[in-house]
Amino acid sequence: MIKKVALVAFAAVVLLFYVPFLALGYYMSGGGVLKLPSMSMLATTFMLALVTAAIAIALAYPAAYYLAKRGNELEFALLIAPLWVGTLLKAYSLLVVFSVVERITGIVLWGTALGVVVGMVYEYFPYAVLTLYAAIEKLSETPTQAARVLGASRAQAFLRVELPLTMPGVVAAFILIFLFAVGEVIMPAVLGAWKVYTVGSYIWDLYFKARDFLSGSVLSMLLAALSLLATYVVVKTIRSFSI
Amino acid sequence: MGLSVELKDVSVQYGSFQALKGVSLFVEGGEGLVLLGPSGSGKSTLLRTIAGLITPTRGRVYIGGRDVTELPPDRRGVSMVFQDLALFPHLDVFENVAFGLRIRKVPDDEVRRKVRWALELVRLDPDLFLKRRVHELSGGQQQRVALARALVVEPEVLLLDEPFSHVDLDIKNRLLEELKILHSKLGFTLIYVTHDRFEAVEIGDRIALMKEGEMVQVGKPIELYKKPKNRFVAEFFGEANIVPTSALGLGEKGYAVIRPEDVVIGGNATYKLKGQVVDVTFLWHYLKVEIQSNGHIYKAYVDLETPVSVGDVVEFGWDVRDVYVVEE
Amino acid sequence: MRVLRIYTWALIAAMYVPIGVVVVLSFNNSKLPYVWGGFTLRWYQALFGWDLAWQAVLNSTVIALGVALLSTLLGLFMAYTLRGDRYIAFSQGAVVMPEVSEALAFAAALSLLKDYANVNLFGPVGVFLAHLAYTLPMAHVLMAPYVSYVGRNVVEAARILGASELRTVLSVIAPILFPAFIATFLIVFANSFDTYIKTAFTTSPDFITAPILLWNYAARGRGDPTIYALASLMLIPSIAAAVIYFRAVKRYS
Ligand SMILES: Nc1ncnc2c1ncn2[C@@H]1O[C@H](COP(=O)(O)OP(=O)(O)OP(=O)(O)O)[C@@H](O)[C@H]1O
Ligand SMILES: [Mg+2]
Repeated sequence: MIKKVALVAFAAVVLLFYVPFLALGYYMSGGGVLKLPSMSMLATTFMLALVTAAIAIALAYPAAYYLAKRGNELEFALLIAPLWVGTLLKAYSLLVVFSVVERITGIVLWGTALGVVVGMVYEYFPYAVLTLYAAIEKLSETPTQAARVLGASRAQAFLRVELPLTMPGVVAAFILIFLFAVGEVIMPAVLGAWKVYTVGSYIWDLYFKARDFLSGSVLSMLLAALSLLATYVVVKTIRSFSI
Repeated sequence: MGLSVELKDVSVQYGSFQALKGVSLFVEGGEGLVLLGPSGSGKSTLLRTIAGLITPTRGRVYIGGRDVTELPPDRRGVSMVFQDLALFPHLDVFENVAFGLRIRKVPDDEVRRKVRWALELVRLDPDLFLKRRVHELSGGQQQRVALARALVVEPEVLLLDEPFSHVDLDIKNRLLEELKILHSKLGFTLIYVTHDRFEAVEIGDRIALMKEGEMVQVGKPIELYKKPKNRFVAEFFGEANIVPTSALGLGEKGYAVIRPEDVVIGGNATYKLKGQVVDVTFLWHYLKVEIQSNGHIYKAYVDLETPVSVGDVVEFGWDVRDVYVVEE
Repeated sequence: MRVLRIYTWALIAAMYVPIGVVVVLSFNNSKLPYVWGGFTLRWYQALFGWDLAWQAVLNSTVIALGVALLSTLLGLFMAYTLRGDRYIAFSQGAVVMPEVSEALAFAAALSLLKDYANVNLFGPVGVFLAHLAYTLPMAHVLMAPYVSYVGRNVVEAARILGASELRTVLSVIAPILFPAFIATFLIVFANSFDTYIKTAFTTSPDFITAPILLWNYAARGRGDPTIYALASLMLIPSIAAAVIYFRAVKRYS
């Protein structure tokens, strides 16, 4: 009985999630004038996503390391709790902070790429912490101790043993955040004020303003293919590292 | 020649649990010392303290006469094989063994030469194994790699924490033989942890017996065997008949330790008892006979030709000079 | 480690600054965020008279509750019975898919239905299904690691002792997985409550949710203290959810 319900649920996943992509295929087959995004828009999108993922991971790694080794529950809870604060709420509060910062220091963040990056890092940082924490917590102590006894300083032991051993976690976190960020709509719209124009915003406008299903479909399909490919890579790398 | 290692009144605390209670020990340079003791007695803790992986709450640690208590592990000149081996899973055999050399910034061609040398020392064919990942090796091969990795840096002091616990008896005996040869060839100070007394006598010039975080007795194997400090040593380090002295008329307090090989059946004995044989076991080069007498079970190791069988009532005994009395 | 500890706390502080600012400003008797005009509750009073906002919050809550309950339950069943790599791969692929792609695909499917089958699902039904399309695989992925806590032998023992399949689920599996169920429910609920993009693509103009309302203000880049008040109130369930989540997850450590 349970097995049947589960199979129906799985069928629902395929039907609700994957079958709609056929509708995109239908619109693509209809033909028409394909309005591709400009090179600079693509570059902006990818750069924003890359930079966001890199910064989020760089910020999160030391914290995740600390949490995994010495952290207490409160610290962990405080770092992860923002996952429950809505994206728009975060965007909105940053908007307010930006206006205060601008007033006080004269530094303009609203409508700039920097502002968008701050927003996306703010949003995705907890995901980086979670993924890295899982990878670091799994580390056994003894390889590091072996390195120390063989003459490695703390820093050397970290760079030569702990960091490589947690690399699968870093890769997973990077790809996860990169994928979320590459299709991002909210932060570029709210914090970039539509001036920082990304593929996500473009797809958005194609649907809501231009009603151009064809170009939107092609781009969405490309994004979807990219994410499936990336997932495959993650699964592969992580498998090959396991003992 | 290896450096001496000395512990003075070392205590180690894990939270509220005291794992070492004021342990003192002196190991001479080049000596082979075995730390022996039941599981949980603090052997690994002691070894880790020497390596600098644990800082003692009290007491000092000296290596080569120098106080190293505050020194981090990478500056103590010791090398260690871990109980769980701790090979680097992300590196192949070559890079595992080369690790310590890379840290020491040894030039590449010398690294290659030394890694080969170390692998040959532990009888692993370099051409066959250099490029393998560590999870592609058998348990015994992994233990050799761990040993090679520890040896290649030519340590003054080599610490081994039950390094051969995961291989079958045959391979273990071979590895022990090889380790002994390496030890006499290279001259490092060797501190070897085990809970197996047979392994202990194979490798140790001296044996340090631990129990519940305390050092119970340190000495040559024969000293521990012939002159055990207490019942625990007598029982842990060899088979023994332990009888309250009062039962043998040897005084009020204490226990008499009689080794089973000193017990004779029917032959010459200066102290004689009568009893019934309750069990006879064939043990290759002798028979183990269990005799019940006055509520005690006595173990005797006797010749294979001895005519005994279960149920026999026999006269047995020992030479009183073979009885060793301990106080507790 | 001390340095790392300080660093971690600095990060924590930085993360809560923007949220704190909004809460503070919701009590600010001035429309300008950088001017403190004294303490006031008038934005909260304004909020309580604002029916549209309450309708939006109610809509979001109903959708999120339904979606979360259904997908967590089905996610549990999937995680429990479909343990093969192939199944979980489908769900994992869905979880990492960029939201716009998926939202556009769903909107395309709904328009096809509307144009060719004359069924217009844009509105509450479309929103519900679009959310479910994502939360179902998400619940599956989140539940999967916990399922290993139910040993096969426990289940087999129960069956041998005479429990029916349903009985086994209710009295053996459910208690073990209950905290995981709660944890997953909370994440899925938050995701559905929070999502703006999928909703925007699949709703109709007369069905407004909380994120849509926030967006209408946020996208124009305007500060409105009434919205600050709404945002502050919405923090309370967020914090409660985070606390319950940690309580639940701790059971397995
Ligand atoms: N990290 C730790 N935290 C708390 N207690 C510990 C820790 N490591 C060891 N202990 C305790 O300290 C005691 C000594 O441990 P140790 O590992 O030194 O024993 P051992 O003699 O090496 O035993 P074995 O032969 O089983 O390896 C044990 O009772 C153990 O439970
Ligand atoms: Mg040990």
